[in-house]
Amino acid sequence: MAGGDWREAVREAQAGVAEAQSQLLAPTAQAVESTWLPLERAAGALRRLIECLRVGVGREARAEVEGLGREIARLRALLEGAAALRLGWARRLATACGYTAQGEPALPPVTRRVSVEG
Amino acid sequence: MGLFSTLISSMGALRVFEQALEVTQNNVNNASTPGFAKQRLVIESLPFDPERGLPGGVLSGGPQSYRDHYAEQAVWRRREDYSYSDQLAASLSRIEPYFNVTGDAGIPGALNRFFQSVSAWSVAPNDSASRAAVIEQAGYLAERVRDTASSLIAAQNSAEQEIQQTAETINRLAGMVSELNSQIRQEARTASDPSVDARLHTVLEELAGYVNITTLRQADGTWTILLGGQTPLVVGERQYQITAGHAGTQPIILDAAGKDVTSQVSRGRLGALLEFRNTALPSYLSSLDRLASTLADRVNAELAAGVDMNNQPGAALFEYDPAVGAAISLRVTSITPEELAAALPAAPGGNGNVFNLVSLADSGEIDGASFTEYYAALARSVGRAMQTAQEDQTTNEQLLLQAQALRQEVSGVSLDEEAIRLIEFQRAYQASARLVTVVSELTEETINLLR
Repeated sequence: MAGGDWREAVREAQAGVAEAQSQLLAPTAQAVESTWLPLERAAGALRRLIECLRVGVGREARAEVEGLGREIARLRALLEGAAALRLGWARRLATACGYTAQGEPALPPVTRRVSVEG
Repeated sequence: MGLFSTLISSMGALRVFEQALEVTQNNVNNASTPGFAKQRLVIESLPFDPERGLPGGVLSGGPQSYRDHYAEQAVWRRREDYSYSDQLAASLSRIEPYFNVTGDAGIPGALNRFFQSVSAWSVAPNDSASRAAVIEQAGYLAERVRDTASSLIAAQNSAEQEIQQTAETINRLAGMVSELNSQIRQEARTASDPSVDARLHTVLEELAGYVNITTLRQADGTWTILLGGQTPLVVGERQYQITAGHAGTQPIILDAAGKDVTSQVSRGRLGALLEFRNTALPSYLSSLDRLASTLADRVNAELAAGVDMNNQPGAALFEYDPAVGAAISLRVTSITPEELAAALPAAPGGNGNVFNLVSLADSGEIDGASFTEYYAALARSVGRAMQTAQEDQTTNEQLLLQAQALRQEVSGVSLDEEAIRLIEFQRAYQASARLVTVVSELTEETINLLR
């Protein structure tokens, strides 16, 4: 890998983590799912950066990689925050409808129907 | 079924749908009202059995709020955390410039200048200009130490004022809740009034920004607010005011009965101000006091071991009052240049004692660190605390946005849809958590390669 490519790898990893972070601001299943692609891109970029470092290229990347470490910690906090919110919501659901035999919050029974007559 | 009963049924249905339209219109009108949660009209079906004369149709079950208490509380918890780190970062940013270790400014520059003047004195131990320079630089060093200490004390006073103002703000907001509770008690219908509900929730979210609260909705629709889960702020129409007082020199928070409840205040702006004023600042001041007293004691001890130009035991260069704090009271004594002890008693007129003073600059005088290293470590700890607070602030801001997004999302979902979403979420979460772990491990590996 050329000397300039390690910078590209760092940028790509940073962009992937930042995109995953912004997706996680909404704690929905869809949002969490949409982090997979940018995270896979970030992982690929980091693998390329590791290759560079093993051949002695990109030693200057230290501050940026440490910054990336802090962003990943924030990403993890967001993911755990989303899970905690969902867990609380699940408990609330279970309070209303109980759990299934599999331990999942049960679906509420249908007690009303809307009927329009005339 | 006769035409008449069919007409009645149709009219009933029309009335219900008219009400549904009103509720929808109200939701649209209040789309940007702070704290407003949209409402829905519960529509119940009526029995339909023409043979028994039951015409069917629909009946309005009354408007119901979409507000979810769990989602609201999640936002309040995040608001408490965000406001805590935001306030702590703001408070620390005010004192961080006093711990600047770059350039020739502040205490590190003054330490350098003092020990350079001692070094110059060792070359010309009996030169009165060199002796005067040592006293002058000692005065400059003492002044810089006093400046930093007085800035920290000013920050303490400012934090105390902020604590006082924050307690007043908390009382004002709690007063608003008790007024709304009073309205709810006077007219039961008010409890389900969306505008009262919106006002209450706006006030409660604002209150959570100032202090950690626990909220309980009572059967009569009123809200009970507890500080730290224990101290009542509002129960029904009654408000319990908190006050900012003192225990010795430390500010504390007192409940309405005058009991110290400071330990219950852990989050929100008030939690951060108490942490900054009662833990962070005293720790920095204590380190600065230790630097000042050790420096003064060690320099004075070395001088006392030598003799001055009149062959008399060396006089002290520094003095301080431990009762008020070494750093804030550090100053130069009324020593004259002739009274500085350059020589050892065994070799009057020489510079043996000055060499001992020069060696103080680099020797491990406090916990194995030189004076400059000790101060640099103190400055680093202030910088680290601020960096951590700023990072927490960013993270907590994002977590607050996340909780607000959940609140927004649950306002319009049905429980059964949500149960299905939870299962989807669990699968998505497991996959994402694995990916985050992979990225995190790769970053660790990269950092290790860079070491």
